[in-house]
Amino acid sequence: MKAFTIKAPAMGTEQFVRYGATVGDFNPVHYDLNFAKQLKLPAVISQGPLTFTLALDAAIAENGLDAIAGFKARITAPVFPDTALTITGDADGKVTASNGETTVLDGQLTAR
Amino acid sequence: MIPELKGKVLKTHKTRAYAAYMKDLEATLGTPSAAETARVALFFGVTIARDFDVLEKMGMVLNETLMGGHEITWTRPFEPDEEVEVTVTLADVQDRGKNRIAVIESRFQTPGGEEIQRQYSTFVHLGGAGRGKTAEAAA
Repeated sequence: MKAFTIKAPAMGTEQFVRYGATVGDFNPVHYDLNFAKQLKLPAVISQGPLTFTLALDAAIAENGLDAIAGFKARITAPVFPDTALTITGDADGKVTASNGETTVLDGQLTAR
Repeated sequence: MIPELKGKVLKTHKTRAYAAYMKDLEATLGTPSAAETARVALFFGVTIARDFDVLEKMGMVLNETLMGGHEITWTRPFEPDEEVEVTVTLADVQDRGKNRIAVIESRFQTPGGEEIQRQYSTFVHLGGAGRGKTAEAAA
């Protein structure tokens, strides 16, 4: 696998809604600020699979889809709107996504 | 009670890998590689029927539940508009402290039985230990 560092595009509430519509995830915590505040969150949060998809997309951009057979990741922190994540990958296929000092995803690619 | 739930099929669903949804995901991501990514990350098995029925069947309360992890493996990307049959199974469930941890497997196959993709999604129901429904109630 290629080592890389990529700044992923920031996803806002509009992207959360569009992603939710694509995959059928209509949990209001992704678009309803009042609902999110009831859960003691400061803002709506990204879908975990969207964060996962951004990290996978960065790996595909660097390695090509044909080189990858799978991706497994832990979601370690919420992602709030308009956060541009930094995605890093190493030669062993380890992938992390971070927001500044906070790691939000810790993953591992499977090579084909 | 909890071991009885393991291995139980929670949902089966027939759909297509709609090209329009691939385009939507490509546009949402907005990267040069997004078209390729959309062919493997098109679905989230847990919400394949566009609801959270799978979690609710196990008594997991949506606003008390976090996603802890996700895994997808694929034999090939989805072809645009191809038919897909999805089987969602409770792969594992256990209580750890006050929380209930559930791992849900989603298998994506062609109508002919060719496996295209498999997903494992891990959910943490905060304070959910000892709660939930019996295997019979989840049927």
